[in-house]
Amino acid sequence: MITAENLTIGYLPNKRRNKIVHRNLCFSLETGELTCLLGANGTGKSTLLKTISGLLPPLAGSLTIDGRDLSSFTTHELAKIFALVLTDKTMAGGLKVIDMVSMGRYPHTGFFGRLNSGDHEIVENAMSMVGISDKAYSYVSELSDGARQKVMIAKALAQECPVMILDEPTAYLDITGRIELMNLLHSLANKQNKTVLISTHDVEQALMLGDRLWLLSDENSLQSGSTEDMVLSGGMDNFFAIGSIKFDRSNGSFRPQYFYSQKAFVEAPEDLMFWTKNMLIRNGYTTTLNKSEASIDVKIISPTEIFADGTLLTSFADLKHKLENR
Amino acid sequence: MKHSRFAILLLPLSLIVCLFAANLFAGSVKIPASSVIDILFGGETSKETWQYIVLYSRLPQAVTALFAGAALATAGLMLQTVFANPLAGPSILGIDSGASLGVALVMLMFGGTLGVFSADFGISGYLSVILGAFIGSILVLGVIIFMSTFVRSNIMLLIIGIMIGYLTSSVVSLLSFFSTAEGVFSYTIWGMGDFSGVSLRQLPIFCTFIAIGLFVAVILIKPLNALLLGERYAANLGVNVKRMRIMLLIATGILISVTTAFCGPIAFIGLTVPHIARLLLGTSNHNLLLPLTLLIGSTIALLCNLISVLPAATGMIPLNAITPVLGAPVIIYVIVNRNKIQYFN
Repeated sequence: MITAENLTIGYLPNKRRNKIVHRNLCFSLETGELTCLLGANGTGKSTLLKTISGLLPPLAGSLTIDGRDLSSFTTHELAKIFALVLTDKTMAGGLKVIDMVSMGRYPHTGFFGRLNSGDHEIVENAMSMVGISDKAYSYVSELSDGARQKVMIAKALAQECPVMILDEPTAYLDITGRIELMNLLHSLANKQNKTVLISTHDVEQALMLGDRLWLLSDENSLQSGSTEDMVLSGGMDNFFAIGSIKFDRSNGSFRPQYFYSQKAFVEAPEDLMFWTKNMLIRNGYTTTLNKSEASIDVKIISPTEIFADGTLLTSFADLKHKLENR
Repeated sequence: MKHSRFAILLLPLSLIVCLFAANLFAGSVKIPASSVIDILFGGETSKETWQYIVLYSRLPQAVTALFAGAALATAGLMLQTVFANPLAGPSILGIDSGASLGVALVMLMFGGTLGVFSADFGISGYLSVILGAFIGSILVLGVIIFMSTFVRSNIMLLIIGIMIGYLTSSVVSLLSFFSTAEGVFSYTIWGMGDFSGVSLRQLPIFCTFIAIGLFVAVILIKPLNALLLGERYAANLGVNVKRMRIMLLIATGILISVTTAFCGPIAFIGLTVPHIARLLLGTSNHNLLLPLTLLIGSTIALLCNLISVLPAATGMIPLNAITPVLGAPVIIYVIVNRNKIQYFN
């Protein structure tokens, strides 16, 4: 387990001028959990990840792995503890995918980096886990950004470290790629008992598959807790809030804040309620449970059977038309 | 499968054997092949001058080309990997102009007193030339590596290298202006580049230095591969990046400065050969790329040396008149096709 006490992170450009990013951070990174670090751009997510993984020295405070101070580890020892996936551009376009993934075995191989049969098996496994086995003999340069990201994740898997740290791993991936990847990371943490820490802007995926949230902001520094505790205690409410963007605790999404001029009384089956409210909110209605104060009464039977103030409508498009012309 | 991968090394190896022999048999003086063989195997020969030409001129020249080519090509490959820039090379980064400045300082300021490049040179003269070249190239290499920590753009770094080249040549011009005619002449001849500057007596020193540099390069194969992923990934894989950079600085410094001190600043071999090797091999993996680059470097150097002695009557063509003819088209080809070449992307 990784623990930090009163950790100050930042860059050390020279002795006179430290660039401190955050002071007095206290946290612990739990084994067997997928931890998602959220924060707006420029709040120091990458700096924190680099400090934890030993690429940047802590400026003050303590950072320990299983009770041993991080700075007492050699580069070689750290390579067997942390596997990183960074946002750095590589110059490895001329390497085959299999060579790139094999680089993950670097800390485990001998002087010339020759792989034995066990290493080959680990590399094959890593490629199949992220689903790039069919591209093993393609050049890295021939891959899409998303596939390159998967290659780097396979490299990290091949490194076989107890801790995996990934800086915005889903950035270049499409929606199915993101879900697949987050699912993979979650099962690595839960089933193989690895410690997985990622930074991401993808709040939806983080809330869905992250076991623990770390919220990093300039005002509140680092707040952490189990995902549901964080959401329900209101930790997310003001987190990304800049003026008109608000967090909706009931479904974990962000919405622009509308000026609600009117209220609507809604009756709908559970599976249609979300989308009904979605349309009403977008058109300036808030929902109410009190029929008397509502200016419209909406009753949904099915997507093609909608009653607005008693009039039968056959689609949501018609409902929108009705809302606009009132 | 493993055997077929190493088979690609056989091609340059056999070419090296042929070209090495050709270098011994061909030259400005026509010597019958049978006599050359006799001389090489210690037999008697009809003319004593022939024996002298083969053993004291052609043999050391061929061995020098063999080692110098390997040294420059390997140094070029290491620079391209370290700077993550396929267009890096000893001459473009200004490293051999640094060596030239060191040599100019020694030759032009102390040229007369040390008797460098005169017929009965002192070994101290040569050592001071080597030392000048070594200090000059290490200094420039250090400056470039230091610059590379905050100049992130590769193109900008190359331009800085070119600027350093201009700066050193302005100092060299100044030195020439105040120097003796002899000094300027020997410096100019040196600057044209040739493999005949190493005598049989100096050959062991030359070869030992190059062998040390090449040895360091070979032991750095694994970390060089890690560096392809960038410094931070390399560090995460357990590479001590700082120590690695110092080792590379020393290895490339030795290879470039020793070659430049003895043979002059030879252009294009360091820049071009790694490209030829990568294009032939189809991978940036140094396990095979480095040995192949080393061998092709020797091949090209031996070929250039052979071409330089071809015009029998008029003496030798300067190497720097030949290497660009072979090297520039390759670089232009690589740049034009960079979108199709994997290691550029």
